[in-house]
Amino acid sequence: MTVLPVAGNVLEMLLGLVIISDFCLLGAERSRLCIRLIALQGVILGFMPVFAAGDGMTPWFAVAVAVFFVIKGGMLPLLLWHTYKKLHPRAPGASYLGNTASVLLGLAAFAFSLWLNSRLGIAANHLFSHVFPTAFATIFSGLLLITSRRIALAQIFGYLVMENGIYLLGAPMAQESALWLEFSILMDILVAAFVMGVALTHINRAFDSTDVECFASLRD
Amino acid sequence: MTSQMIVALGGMVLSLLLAPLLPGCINRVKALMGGRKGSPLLQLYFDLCRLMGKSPVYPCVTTYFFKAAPAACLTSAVAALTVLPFWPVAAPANFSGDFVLLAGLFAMSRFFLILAALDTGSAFEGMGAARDALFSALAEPIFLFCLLLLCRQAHSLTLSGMTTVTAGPAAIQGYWMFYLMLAFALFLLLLQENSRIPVDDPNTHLELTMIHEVMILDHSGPDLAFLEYAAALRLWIFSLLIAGLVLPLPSVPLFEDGGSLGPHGLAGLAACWGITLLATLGVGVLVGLMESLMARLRMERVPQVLAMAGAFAGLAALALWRQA
Repeated sequence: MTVLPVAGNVLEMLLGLVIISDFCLLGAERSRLCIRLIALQGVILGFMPVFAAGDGMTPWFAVAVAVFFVIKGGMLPLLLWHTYKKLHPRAPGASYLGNTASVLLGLAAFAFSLWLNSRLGIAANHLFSHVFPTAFATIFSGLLLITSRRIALAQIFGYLVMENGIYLLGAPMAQESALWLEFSILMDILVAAFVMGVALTHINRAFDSTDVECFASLRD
Repeated sequence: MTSQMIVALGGMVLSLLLAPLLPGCINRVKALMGGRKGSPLLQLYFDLCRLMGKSPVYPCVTTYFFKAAPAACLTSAVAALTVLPFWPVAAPANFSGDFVLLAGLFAMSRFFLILAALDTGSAFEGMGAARDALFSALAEPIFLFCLLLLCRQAHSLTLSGMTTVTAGPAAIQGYWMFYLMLAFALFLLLLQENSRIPVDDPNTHLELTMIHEVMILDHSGPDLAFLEYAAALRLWIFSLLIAGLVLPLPSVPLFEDGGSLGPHGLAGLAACWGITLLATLGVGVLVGLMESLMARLRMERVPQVLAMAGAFAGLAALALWRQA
């Protein structure tokens, strides 16, 4: 599978924007900015299966891609926004590591993913080798957000970013059969986000905080 | 003097004339975004004319450093323009390693400004000078690293070579990610080097939070005009760098075999200059949007912005390595 020159340039730019949004997420503290960045990432990823489909774009496939687009770029960010608005206003979500260290770790992850890509040598799917470094770095960024953030909402951001990375990894293999698998994963994520949103609201109402540090010690 | 040199000098004169337009453009964008009428687009021109008509006032405690700083700042900014190419022709003075001179001229300008600020003996100006020195020390290696990456991609040691290397779509094929990352890094450096939001608010006059504005508090009259004009030139230079180096503009054959401009060459030159000016003002519009959508960061968080710039430069290096 080869990418057309123009499409290749567009894909290159989109992948660049995904990486930039990853790094901005690692460096950002404010939840509002993080939600906007996740929405941007969702919109960009919505286009990804189009590159993989090439000439094999059927009407059903186009509908499936549109649904992905709406869920990733619209529904999930809106859900996050709704949850964010319900929470008590509080200090920006600090990181255990510090933002600069998070960004530098992200940089190391991208370097490692490039090295790994050169070692894997998957010649059968050109698009996969093209997308792999960005996808791997996105998964790592998600993991880093989950493990290093103190605020529960920021950990949900990490969960979504990690899923975006997995989705990006699956995009080169996007065929109708593979899309069903992606759909089922996406639905799980959507439900999980709903559950977490509701849980967060309840936690916030009960304890006046969503800082996970506060859950370490129990008192009457 | 060859036609090429005349065109290059013409580009430089155009930069000198239009540089004060850029802050005006930024202020207009901010006003539009804020739902205000805003100051005129040519406000800085009016301010410069007004200041040039006044007499300077010097604090009695200052030495000749204070008087020399405005001239040194303006001279270094104008000298920096001589090594900066104005697409589609090379810079009036281009030689191997001229990008190091560009960084050096910026440093010299800053050095004199810091000296003048310290020369007043004011605690506030000293505080601004200390902040500027710290942030510049962090930004300068990143700036040089960005330029070195462009050298590597262009296989050229001149700023002019970096702009003319991207000869058509074939040369930039596969390098989009590199250019995108580099544009982001340079844009963050532009915000820091020109004391724009989120690093500093040029409109504020609360000394505790100021960086550039606090260092020029005691200057007045033509001296202040020189400093304001030098600041506008520096902003123009950075915007032109982003527009000219990062945008993949192809090399355009404007000159005939004899070295003179043909009739089509003149039209082509006007089109190229128009595109360059639009791209440069476009960077200004982006700065205005950024300033409208963001608040100034706490002082302790400014190094994080520079770390982000460094990270994007690192990503650009990795993107370049991937294509190598």
